[in-house]
Amino acid sequence: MSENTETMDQAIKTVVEKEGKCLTFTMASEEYGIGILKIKEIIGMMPITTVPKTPEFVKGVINLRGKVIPVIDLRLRFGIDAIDYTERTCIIVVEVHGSAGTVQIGIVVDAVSEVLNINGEDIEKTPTFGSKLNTDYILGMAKIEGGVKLLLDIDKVLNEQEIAALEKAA
Amino acid sequence: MKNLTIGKKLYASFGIMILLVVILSGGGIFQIKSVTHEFDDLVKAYQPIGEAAGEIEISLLTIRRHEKDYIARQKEKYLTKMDKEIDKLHHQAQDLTARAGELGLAHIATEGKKIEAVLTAYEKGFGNIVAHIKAQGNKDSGIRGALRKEAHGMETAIKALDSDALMVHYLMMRRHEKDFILREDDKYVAKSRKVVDKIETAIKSGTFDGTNGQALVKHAKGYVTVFAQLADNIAGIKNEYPAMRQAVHEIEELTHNIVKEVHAVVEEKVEAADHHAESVVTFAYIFCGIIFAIGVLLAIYAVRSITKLLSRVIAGLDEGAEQVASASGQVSSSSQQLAEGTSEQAASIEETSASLEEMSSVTKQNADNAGQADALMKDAAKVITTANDSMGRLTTSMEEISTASDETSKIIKTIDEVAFQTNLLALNAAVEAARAGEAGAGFAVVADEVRNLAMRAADAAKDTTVLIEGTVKKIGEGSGLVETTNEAFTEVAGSAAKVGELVSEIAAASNEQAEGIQQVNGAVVEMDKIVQQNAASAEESASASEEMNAQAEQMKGIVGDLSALAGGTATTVKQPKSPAKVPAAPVRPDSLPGKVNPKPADLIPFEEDNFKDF
Repeated sequence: MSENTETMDQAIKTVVEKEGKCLTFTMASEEYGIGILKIKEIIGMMPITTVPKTPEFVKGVINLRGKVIPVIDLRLRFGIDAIDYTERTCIIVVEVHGSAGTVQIGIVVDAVSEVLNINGEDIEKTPTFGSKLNTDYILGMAKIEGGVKLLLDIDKVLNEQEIAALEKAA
Repeated sequence: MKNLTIGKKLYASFGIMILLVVILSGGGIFQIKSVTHEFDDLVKAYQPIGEAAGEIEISLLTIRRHEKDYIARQKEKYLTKMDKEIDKLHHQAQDLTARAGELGLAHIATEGKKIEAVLTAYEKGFGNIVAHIKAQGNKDSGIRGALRKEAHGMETAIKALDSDALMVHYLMMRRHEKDFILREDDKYVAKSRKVVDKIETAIKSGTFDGTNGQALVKHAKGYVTVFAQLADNIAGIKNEYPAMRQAVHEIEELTHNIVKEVHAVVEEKVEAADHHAESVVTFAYIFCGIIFAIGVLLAIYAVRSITKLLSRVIAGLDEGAEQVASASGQVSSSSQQLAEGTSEQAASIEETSASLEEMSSVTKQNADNAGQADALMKDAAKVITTANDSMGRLTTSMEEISTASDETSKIIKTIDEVAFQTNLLALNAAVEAARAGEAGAGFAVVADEVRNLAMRAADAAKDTTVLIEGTVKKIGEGSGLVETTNEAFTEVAGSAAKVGELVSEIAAASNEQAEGIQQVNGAVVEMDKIVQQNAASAEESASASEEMNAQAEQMKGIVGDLSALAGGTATTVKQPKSPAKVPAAPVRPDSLPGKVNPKPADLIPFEEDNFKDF
């Protein structure tokens, strides 16, 4: 099954790497998008159990229908100041590739918008802002009427070590 | 001495005088007593010595008499008398010596002792004489007896011989004997011896009878011997006479001396006593003189003190009289002024009364107006209260609306949440559909539609929320307005209340003012009365001051008399002039009306600011 998933993932990756449906969400008044195949589930905010000796952006773990899923705050990961959680705050459960396979991680985002169908021609390459900034995690920029949405490569948002740590925590 | 009163000074002076007199008297008495004592001494002590000496003289004479008597008559009684007298004299002499010794008259004592000694010598002499006389005996005894016996023997012998020549010799012998006895001249002894010799011769050579002749010779020899004895005796007696006479003379002299000495001493003492008395008298004179001088001085001092006091008093009185006179003059003038002022005062009071009446009426009007304003204010307050109540009710209903809106809001929220969750659900569905790929295409559509519905619901909820927020805002504004209105009303109420208070105060003050004006009116009426009285009093005081002036003049006259009596030197202590005695300045007439014209504005404390709102 994991092979299938892997294959499917690969396929999704290749297919949706740059186009297809993606879930848009808001964070710090910026719109981001993640490929829909990466997303497992979207849930509203629920109590997070803190885990000690974890990085700051790791909020803790949640119990989702019996499954323990680590949760990170994308704000803190991106170095943006954390805010209080509102009723619109959601946790997006994504699947990332780790050393031992896919890991389900929850991401705390400010709000979830919609599922958008993004065409290939609407996606632009990420402009470089200088050598210092690491923009690997940005797949591209999607032009939608009104604004630009940053397409995130969720795999790159968290690097290998962190994933390992998260695995351990989970 | 300066701080004593006159009385004390006089007492002191008299006291000193009395004391001095007492001293003088005491001294005088003492001295007189001592002089008397001296004289007493003289009389008691010294005189007796003189007397004793006199008595000694008398005794001495008595002794001499007795001596002579005894020598003459040789009777024992004279001896006893003599002894007695001599004893007496001894005693007298001893007494005298003792007295002299007591009185310290050593010389006299010595002389007394000498008297005694001499007397003793005399006694011895007399004793010898007595012995001799006794030895002499009488015709029957002693030497004389023997002589007679021998003579008779001779006579017998001669008679026996019967010789006339012998008889003649014998008789011649006897004659010589008698002569001798009578004249006591020793020549008769010689003659007698010669005769005896002749007899002897005659016998030896004669033819006389032998026995008788022998007897005659024997007797003659015996006679001669005895005669010689007698002669010795008598000579012995005679020998004593000078000594005795000497003794007596000595005693006499001594007594005379004693008497003289006593007299001298007595005189001395008398002189001394005299001198003493004289000195006492002199001292008394001196002391009297001193007392006199002191008395004069004290008298002068006392008189001067009294005079000084009197002068001071007179000066004081004089000045007092003058001051009284001047004061009365001033009083008179000030009374005049007072009378003038009083009349002016009366006029001012009339004016004051009139203006007070006006003020009174104005004040009454004021009070009425204030009362009306008060009533109006009370009405306004009532209206405000009503408005306040309505405001309150409005606020309550608005609150209710607010509460309802809140609840609506909550419900809308719930709807919104449902929409949200639905959205999530739809998204999840989309995700699953995407994962499902081809198979989930239809599901994706369904998910999409669901999402749309959710969106619609969300929108509706949003709109409603917006509306409700709008309502709430409006309500908030309305509430704010109500608040503002409330505040305004409250302010108004406050102001109204304040105005009400002020108006009340004004009303009260006006009332008080009216009262005050009444009182002032009353006071002015009184003042008018008093002014009338004052005028009368001024008249009276003017006349009284005239009288006082006259009295002062009279007093000055009397004081002048007294001054003349006391001796005219009125240049004595002047009392310091006390300018404060001048009566206070006369009442200035302009001061009084000035007091009664305070501005009405000053009496009523208006606060004009508070009337702005009206």
